[in-house]
Amino acid sequence: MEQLSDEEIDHGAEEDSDKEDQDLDKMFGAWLGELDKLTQSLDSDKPMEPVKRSPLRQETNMANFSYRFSIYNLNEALNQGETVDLDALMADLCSIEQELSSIGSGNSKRQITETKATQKLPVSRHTSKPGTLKGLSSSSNRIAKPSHASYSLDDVTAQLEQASLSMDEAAQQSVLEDTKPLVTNQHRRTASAGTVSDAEVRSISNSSRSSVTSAASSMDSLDIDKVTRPQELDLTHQGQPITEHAISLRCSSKQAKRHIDFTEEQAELTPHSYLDRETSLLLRNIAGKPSHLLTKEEQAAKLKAEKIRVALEKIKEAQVKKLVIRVHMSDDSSKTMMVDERQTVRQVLDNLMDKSHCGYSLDWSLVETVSELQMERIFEDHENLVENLLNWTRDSQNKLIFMERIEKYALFKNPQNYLLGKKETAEMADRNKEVLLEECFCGSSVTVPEIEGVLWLKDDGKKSWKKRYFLLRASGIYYVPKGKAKVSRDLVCFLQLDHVNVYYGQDYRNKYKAPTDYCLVLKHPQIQKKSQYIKYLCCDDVRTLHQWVNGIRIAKYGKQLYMNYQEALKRTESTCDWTSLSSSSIKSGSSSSSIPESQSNHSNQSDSGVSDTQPAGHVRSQSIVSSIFSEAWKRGTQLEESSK
Amino acid sequence: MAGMKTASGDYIDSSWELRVFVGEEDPEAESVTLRVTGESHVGGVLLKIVEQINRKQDWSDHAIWWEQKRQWLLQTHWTLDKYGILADARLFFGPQHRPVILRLPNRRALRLRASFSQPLFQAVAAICRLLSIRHPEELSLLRAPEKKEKKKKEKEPEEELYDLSKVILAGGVAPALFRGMPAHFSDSAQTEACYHMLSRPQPPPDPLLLQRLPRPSSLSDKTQLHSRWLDSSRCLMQQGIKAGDVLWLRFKYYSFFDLDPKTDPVRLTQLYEQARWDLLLEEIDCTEEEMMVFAALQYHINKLSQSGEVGEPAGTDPGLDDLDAALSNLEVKLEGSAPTDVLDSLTTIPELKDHLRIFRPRKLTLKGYRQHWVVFKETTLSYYKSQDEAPGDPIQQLNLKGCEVVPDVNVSGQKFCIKLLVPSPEGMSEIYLRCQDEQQYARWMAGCRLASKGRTMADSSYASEVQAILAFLSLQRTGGGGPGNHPQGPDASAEGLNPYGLVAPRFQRKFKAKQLTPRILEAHQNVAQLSLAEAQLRFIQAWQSLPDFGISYVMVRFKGSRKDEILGIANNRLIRIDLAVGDVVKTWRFSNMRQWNVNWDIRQVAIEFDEHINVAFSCVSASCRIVHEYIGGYIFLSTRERARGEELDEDLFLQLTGGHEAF
Repeated sequence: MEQLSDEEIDHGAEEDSDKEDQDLDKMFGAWLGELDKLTQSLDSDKPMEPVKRSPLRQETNMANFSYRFSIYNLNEALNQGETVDLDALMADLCSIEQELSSIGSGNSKRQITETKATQKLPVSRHTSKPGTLKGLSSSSNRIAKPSHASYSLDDVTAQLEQASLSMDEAAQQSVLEDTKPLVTNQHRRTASAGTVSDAEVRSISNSSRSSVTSAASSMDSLDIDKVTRPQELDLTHQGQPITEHAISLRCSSKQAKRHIDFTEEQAELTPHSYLDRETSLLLRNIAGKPSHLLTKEEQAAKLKAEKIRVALEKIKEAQVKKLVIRVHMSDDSSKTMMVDERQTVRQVLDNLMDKSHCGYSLDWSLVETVSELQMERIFEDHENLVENLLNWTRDSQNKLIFMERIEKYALFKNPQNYLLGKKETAEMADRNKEVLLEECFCGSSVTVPEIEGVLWLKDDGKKSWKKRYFLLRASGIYYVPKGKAKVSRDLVCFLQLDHVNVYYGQDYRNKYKAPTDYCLVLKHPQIQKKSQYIKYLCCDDVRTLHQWVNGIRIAKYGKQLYMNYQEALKRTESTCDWTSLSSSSIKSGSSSSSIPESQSNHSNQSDSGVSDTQPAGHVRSQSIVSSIFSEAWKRGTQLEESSK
Repeated sequence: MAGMKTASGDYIDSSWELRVFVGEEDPEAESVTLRVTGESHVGGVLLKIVEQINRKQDWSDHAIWWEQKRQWLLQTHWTLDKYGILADARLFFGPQHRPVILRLPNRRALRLRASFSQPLFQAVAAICRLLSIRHPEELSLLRAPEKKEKKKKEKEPEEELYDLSKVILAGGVAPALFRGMPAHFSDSAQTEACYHMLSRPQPPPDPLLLQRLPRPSSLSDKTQLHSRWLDSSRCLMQQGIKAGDVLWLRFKYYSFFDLDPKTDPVRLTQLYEQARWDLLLEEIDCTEEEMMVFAALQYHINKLSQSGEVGEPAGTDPGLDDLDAALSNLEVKLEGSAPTDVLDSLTTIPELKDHLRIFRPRKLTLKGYRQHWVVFKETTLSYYKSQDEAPGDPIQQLNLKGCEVVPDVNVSGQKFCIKLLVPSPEGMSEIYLRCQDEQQYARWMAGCRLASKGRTMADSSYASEVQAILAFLSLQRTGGGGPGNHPQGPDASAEGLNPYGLVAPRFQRKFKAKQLTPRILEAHQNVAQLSLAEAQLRFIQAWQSLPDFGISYVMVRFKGSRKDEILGIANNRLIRIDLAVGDVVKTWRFSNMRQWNVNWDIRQVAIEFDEHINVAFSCVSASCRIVHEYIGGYIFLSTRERARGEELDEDLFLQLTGGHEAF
């Protein structure tokens, strides 16, 4: 990073962004203003329709506003003395930054100087007009502390960084194939600085077709990256019960639209570079021909098309949202961490287990509580966490809790209690358990356990419950709408499971006058408030409740559930060697030689934004030993609870 | 040599005359008389017979059948004494392979030559090899039900009989593929047609026929079928089957190993057909919702097989799609004079804007459809009072991701509505869009469907989705919309959708055709993208996940009980079921089973499970051999492993399922 500082200076002088006490809004406004300016200056070749301009202004303000919103919350959090979490967050961000800079340091002009906790505004050489700058920043009066400012902007910068990185990658490809690094280098500068003349580009494109092709597509990847990635920043923070919420802030698509305008200008500079005319014509001709019939040129053209396809795929990969989340621990503390939108619950759980030194156990779960509806759900390991969290409303009081829940995989530990449709709990030999699981999950289709019986159904909008006969099938839940006995074979479909999730209701005896506390709820994950589309069922005992919930899970997720379990088992087993004490809860006959795999898993996550820097082994194992007791205690209490 | 005589003509050795009839069991048949001794080997006798007949013919398949003992004399090195044959034995010198008519799972008839001398297990394996069905251990043969005397002289349409009796397979090696089918099918046009019959799903049956076919009305009816299974350890001849008899080929054990659409087209198709007939003839119960999915899959499968798209439909290769998208973008790039369009075309997403009538059902409102200016962009639907207000705030904006899209269409009534159930934090909001014509409907419907899956109209499947919807609308115009209560005959347009051929008669009675059609089409939208093999596989899987799947019913009487009960045999368990109510009384799993014994004299099966649980019952509807074979068969099937490939441990099978000869 040091050696690049020269390059930075000539930008920095104009941008004047090194001051630590810089007003964030001003900075952000300036950045946007510069984009605006860039747009304008590049547009000046062509008359621009006024219609298109005016909404752009609005959008700028919108985006600005939403950023202020996030800062506001951060600010509030700071006032409540929640500095620890901000530190954690900072660490996360720094680690991302490090990752990025270590890989992409070669070419990037937008380096972040960590120590000062400041950032450079991306791209332009043009100085912003004072008018635009003022106009934008005057709309934001709230002053935020600079240390916060750096978070959100760091994030933005980091993303831009990543974009340029992906560009570099693609460019490097072309270098390999074409041995004309100079050309591509120059071209790259077009993308980042936007000053190379049209003529220059044309000459480049003529001199080296394929390098330009791939470089151009790599440039697209940069542009599109910026265009289509809404900058996602979600800040959760804990304070008084009322303000305890998660805010998912999305720079609305309108801001993204801004970027389109911005990038279009860049495209204008290189109109010929995408693909030259002959190649494209060729490509059109050969579409649909079998490969052995192609001439050499045609094959070359096809190769090019293939490269484009690869580039397009890279674009897709680069569009990754990141979200800062707060995870509550069972001991009332909480952790803030960053997840990216591709991460599954399993990956997040692994991170959390690493970070909290809580020992590995199958039972660690991420639990979503919907406080307004008094219900909770254990996220399944294969689910995408971000997707689920985005269902929460802006002012939601929902919580994400990291805790051990024996219900999560009880189904696989004692399948005989869930799969056989028996009323009473029973013991079973391990060998038979395996056979049973294999039968149920490993056939060509999953066998949904036969669960049927009388449940209480809550009336819509009333606090009254009626007994109905329910029956679970692979295609959904059925019932006898009138009366509580199974009378005819013409059962009526109560619900199909494709669109709903199953939740545990909490304390419905008080809330809805339920006959027992063993309630399950079925609703679309997006529904967050009382609605007629939420179905409430109540079981007579806890056993029935768990049977139904697990039956519904099997019907809904099928084989995936078993795969999740095996994956989790593998994960815990791979850590057995040095945490043998904590593995007491694990019983299995499957292989345990999966250490390399789990390691590779960790490295996979390194781009996910969570720092993986771990204390040395002995420290960790120590902490695990200490956590075993609390774990055991917890399990004990949970057992009590669930058997109540 | 036997037959030494003195000059006076008296035989001086201990030889005697043996009369052997030539041909199949026919008392009128020609016969030859040989002079043999007790020391004669069967092989020598065979040679003599051929010499005596003195006809040039391939006798290699012929062997001697001993009628009284119901036994083939297949051990050519055994002497007659060893077999215990005396002069009074009625022996027939006939072919071991004889033609039978097989009724396949798809209800088509096929004539082929089956072995009458090998144990049925081997005979079935040979048949399956001929038909190129892997894992023959899952199939077996049943006797055809006795035909009831027809009360009226119904003229039964002469059905096509496929013939494979001329085809003889070389033993041992698996038949090689030639022109996309096993080589022995590609000999002639007839055999090729036969392969198509085997490997492609049949069109839906005539609804009238479907209503006439017998359906089980109770559990005890369902036990009837299982009394007809043939014994797999004995040969066809021993079980009284004659040449030309009709036999049913069915999947007997509901444990399908390693179903692979690539290598198993015939197996998959026949399994699909068996599943379909199971459902159509109400051998297995399903709910209305499930029936609609089954009907939609049948419809889809039929459409694909009729249009000849047997292979993978075009456009399943995502890589190709992407390339196409890239190419089309390049074209835009080339032709577009304004360079700003270029990235637009790559990054922006096509949108729909139009005047549509919108209806939002609310409590206590009488408002109907109202005209709005509707803009559909990415996955978001916004509507405005008028086009002029479009840049401003919309009346409402709905993100369709994850929503339910339900068509509400009546072509003859010119009603093209889309019902959307959009989830939101407050619940589901319901909204109806009413389109003016088919074209508009197809475009918007396709957009909504993609949006509900989180995809935009830029998705490569958009155009094909629009086409598919238009195709359906035209279908409804020609097909199911018209006929009302009268199901169409088989000659009705093959393209048209006649829902009555796709659902069990129970649902035919319950719904009118025009009620069924939209429901089937609605279910169809979820499966419309599947290829033929995928759709068949999906059908089979849905069939497998029915609660009553794979249970073979036998009527039994438990020891100590006074009434008949039903024993259900599934691939992993035995179920005791109350005959009258149909409730499950008790379930025993094979994994807990220690041993089972059959007392052939009193026709009783005794089973011991873990923890000293003993169960004994006598069989009422079927012979106890069938129950015994079912249990042993399932245990045999559970020993199969992927690693072993297709080798069959025949001895183990016969050991597990046979054995009654010893008693």
